[in-house]
Amino acid sequence: MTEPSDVELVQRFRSGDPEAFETLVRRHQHRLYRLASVWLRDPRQAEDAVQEIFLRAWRGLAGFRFRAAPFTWLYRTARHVCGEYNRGRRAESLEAEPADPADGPERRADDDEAARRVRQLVAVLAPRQREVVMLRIFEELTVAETARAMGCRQGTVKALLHKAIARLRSEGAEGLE
Amino acid sequence: MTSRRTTDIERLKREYRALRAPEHLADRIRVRVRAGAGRDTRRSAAGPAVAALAAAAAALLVALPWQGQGAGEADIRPTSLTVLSLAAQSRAGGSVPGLSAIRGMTLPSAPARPANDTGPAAPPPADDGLEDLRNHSRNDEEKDHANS
Repeated sequence: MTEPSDVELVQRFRSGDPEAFETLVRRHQHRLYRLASVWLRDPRQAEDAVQEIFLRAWRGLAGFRFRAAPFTWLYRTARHVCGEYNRGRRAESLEAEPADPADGPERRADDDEAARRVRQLVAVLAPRQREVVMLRIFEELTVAETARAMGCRQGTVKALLHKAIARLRSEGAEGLE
Repeated sequence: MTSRRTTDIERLKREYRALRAPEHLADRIRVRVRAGAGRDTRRSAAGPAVAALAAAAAALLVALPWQGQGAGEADIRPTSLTVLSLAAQSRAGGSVPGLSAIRGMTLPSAPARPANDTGPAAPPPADDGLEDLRNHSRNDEEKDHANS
């Protein structure tokens, strides 16, 4: 049996099926968490940010008009929420909850280190180039998906990526196609 | 000679993609969205700002037909004052009258006119005086005819 598409899940959620929303959460939480870990100056806030993104989705998807893909909507919300965090509007944790024992300090340290290195790598790029690199290279989205998420043409994505790769190579990055 | 630090993108990408949201995050989101949904409903039901806006809009709707009156500009004033007093009441945090209460309001009547005031000058009738002249002439003709 094939997995329901994001659009089908949103339609089911709008028809009153909360399970559909939970499927959306499970499907996209890791990608949004990774992106938030890189975008936020304090990567420990990534968890709170992802929670906030889905809270807004719960409220906002009721009026979703399918002009964009659901992930595009989630991605733009993620960018907005992380921007708010970085401007200090959400400095405090949304909710103090006991951490899962499986998410011990060692795991957190590894996560922080990977996110920190990616953040350091893309820091030399302009903001739009950074987005392209994150979506196209690290999240392995297609050019079309990246263009939709960023709200630009596919040609713009290719041009931004070309410049970004050239810059990263000049900074010592290897293994870029 | 400067040594350039290299970054293996493929390796970094593998490490990055190994990042996973904590196991408990989905459960936490589920609890939060359901609690949040209830809170949103309560908030919107008791929104005083929404009530104040609705009252002001209703007052404007009541006032609009009066502003359409062409004659007697002074008659508009009580209605405008009513809207202002409603707005002031809303700002003061007092109870906002409901729509039915606003519709049931009677507007202050315009001040009574003096007895000798005939009101706005009515346009002269098109045949002003002509009918009398015609009657007068007809009577004179009848008299002349009778005398002859």
